[in-house]
Amino acid sequence: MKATRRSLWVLLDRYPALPACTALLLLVAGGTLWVPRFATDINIRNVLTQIVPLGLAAIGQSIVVLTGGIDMSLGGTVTLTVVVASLFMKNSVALGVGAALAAALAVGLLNGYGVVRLKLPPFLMTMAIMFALEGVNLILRPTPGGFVPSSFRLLATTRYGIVPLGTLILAAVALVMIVVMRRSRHGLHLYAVGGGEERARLAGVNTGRVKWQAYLWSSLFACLAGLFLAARTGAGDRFIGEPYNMDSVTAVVLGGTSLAGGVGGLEGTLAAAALLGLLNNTLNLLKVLPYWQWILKGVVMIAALGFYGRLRMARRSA
Amino acid sequence: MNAAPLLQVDQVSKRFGGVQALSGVSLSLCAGELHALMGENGAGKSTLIKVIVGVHAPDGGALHWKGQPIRITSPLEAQRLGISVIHQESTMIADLSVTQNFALGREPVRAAGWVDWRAARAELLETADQLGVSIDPDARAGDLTVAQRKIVEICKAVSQAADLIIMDEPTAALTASDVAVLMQLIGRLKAAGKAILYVSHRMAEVRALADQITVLKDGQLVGTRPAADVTTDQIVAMMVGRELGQIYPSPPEQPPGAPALEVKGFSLPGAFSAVNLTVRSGEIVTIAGLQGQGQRQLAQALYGALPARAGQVRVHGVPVRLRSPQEAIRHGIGFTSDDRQGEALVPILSVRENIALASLRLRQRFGFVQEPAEASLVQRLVNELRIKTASPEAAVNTLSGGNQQKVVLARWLADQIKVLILLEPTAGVDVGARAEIYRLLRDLTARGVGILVVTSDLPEALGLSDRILVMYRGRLQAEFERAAFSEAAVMTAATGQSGKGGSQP
Repeated sequence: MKATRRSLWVLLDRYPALPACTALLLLVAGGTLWVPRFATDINIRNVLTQIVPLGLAAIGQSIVVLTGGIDMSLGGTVTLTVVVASLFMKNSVALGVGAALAAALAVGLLNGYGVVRLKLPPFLMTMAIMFALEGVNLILRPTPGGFVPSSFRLLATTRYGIVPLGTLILAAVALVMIVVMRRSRHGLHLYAVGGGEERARLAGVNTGRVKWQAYLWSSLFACLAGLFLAARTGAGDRFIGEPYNMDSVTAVVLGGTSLAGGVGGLEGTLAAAALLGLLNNTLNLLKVLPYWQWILKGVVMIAALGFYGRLRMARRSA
Repeated sequence: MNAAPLLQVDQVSKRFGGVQALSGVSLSLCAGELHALMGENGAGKSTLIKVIVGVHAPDGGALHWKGQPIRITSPLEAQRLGISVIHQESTMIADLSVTQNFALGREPVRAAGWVDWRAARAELLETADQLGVSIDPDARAGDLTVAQRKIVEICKAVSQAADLIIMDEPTAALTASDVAVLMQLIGRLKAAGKAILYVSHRMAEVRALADQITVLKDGQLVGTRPAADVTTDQIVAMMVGRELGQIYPSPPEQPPGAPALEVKGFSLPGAFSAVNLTVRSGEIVTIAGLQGQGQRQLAQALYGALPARAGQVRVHGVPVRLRSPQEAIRHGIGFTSDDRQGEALVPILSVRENIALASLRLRQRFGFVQEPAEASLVQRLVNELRIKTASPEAAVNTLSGGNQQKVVLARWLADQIKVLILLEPTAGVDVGARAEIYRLLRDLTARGVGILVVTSDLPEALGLSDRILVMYRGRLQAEFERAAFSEAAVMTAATGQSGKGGSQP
């Protein structure tokens, strides 16, 4: 038992995305076989579009979690970018995008300030920012509305064959970020801070700056997710980002990244984000009520935490 | 030998709150020399190192590096100057690979922040080769042994072109054969012209390696001597500077009573196995050993803070189950952690509240604390234990380490315990307070309490206990009666060879 667990760990070390990928493939196979309308062009296109914002948001969340933090304001930042974009896009697309980006990065700076300078626990700091953002979003956009020009909406509607443009963008961004995390100095520092902040500091890493950068990454990816949502819905809606808080954390956990930081990677997160999107879609096709979907999500998360937790314990005693 | 010193420490002083950690300490380190820094725990060795590498700014005095006066404000700056530290605890990040750890903080970078991993790896292998050691560059750091980690850290220091390498008890957790490997490596570093500041308690290593020996005591410089000119006894005399009998109370005259704590076949996989031991009423038994041999977990399991998997525990002959600290307290087992701030005390509560915590149930009526009774009890204990505090209402984290430990002990004095288990009771406690703590423990044994002390401080084990048990890799390796106490024999057993003069339990 111990030996199999240990070899499983070696495998997981090399391929952290393995459990999520396996589950994803099983779901695809099962869906194709047994779920009506699963493997139709329209449905595939739908799923590929649906996973884009979650995939983007989850990349940002992963980076923060890998440093040992967490960003509970990510959903609020997604909403903020949608709302700000919907306010300024009527003037020009560039202004809308620029304003949304500036707003999102301001949130990242603020989170970094709270965590690094004020030394607040990341969970509480980002949660406080989330509450504040709810208010800001409500002030800026009390009711759904605003305008997103059709030129910008092409971002969500263009597709090549069965593959939407958004999915290609997600894939390209993900690929770049995976290489950054694995091969660059910045990536190494992010992992090192999560693996042992004090030790990283002693080795000469500017840990404060690295954590700050992590929160900037997460707000940048929240912004990208928000811009994609703005293109897809064509309007600003102050509730639109809400699901991305918990869903991004769920994707990180399902993907095998440790909430304690330092272990895991974007590959697993992305597979898990796809898994979550597909699971949602499958349950919808099976006409399962959303309430049950939430319960199922909770169960899956507990199962994943238990699974990885036990493996890590086995490794430590091995 | 006569070359200008690489680093000169000149009359350095440092104060923390009410404690003078260093006063007017001077030291000079030369290239190609190993300078041993010795002294009891709390003598100021760590503080001196931290001042040298810029963790603490000195209150007075100066540092000269290669003849120039300098102010070092951070470990990073020290590193750039050519001063590296090998800390006692590994600073490698367990989930990164050896190469990643080696490169961390000074990565060979190509354009745009991409690390040249091939170069990093090549540099690691080259350094290892140059030092005559072998390293697996792709291993996960957490999977290495303690000795392998030390070797990687030394390679890192060497490749950083360090002129001065400071080693803080590098052999504290090593086995004898690993120590030999490390000593060879250190010999090569000396030959390569590095200056080494070497902190160790192990006389044999210091005798074998050191060119100069400096002894600190209570934050003051006792003296620096060429190693060739002093005997081991002289060094010990410099370190201790007082009769051992002065800080350790004499053992009781009457023999210990009936067994207070009996443990049979006690096991926790991965920590300790098949532990049998007995502590009698009125007896102080010490578990000695290198750090990390499972003694910490054993103590925690005996207090119900960790779940043992097998074994029997009896208190005063009655079998007990220890599933939680609450249960342990109910059966009369008290415990003090080595992590005073984290586990033993609630730092922001007052002295009174901290003392009352564990013994609340004694003074409750209908679930309410009997405050006047509590206040008078606490006042009595504060006086009796000479706890130096502005008032019983002062927050406990304003007290010095020694006085905090007294608060922890006061807790168990207030309660009627049968067995007291102490983890590293005098870690970070100054000598004066240590003597008082030892006296307190003897007072407790006089009342019939059986005491089990876990300590990695060998002089403490030898001075304080009636019996010493030595733990090695999760097993009790040897047992020594007071008549058979010797530093060498205990150390031999602690490093895995079976103890001479001791019996196998």
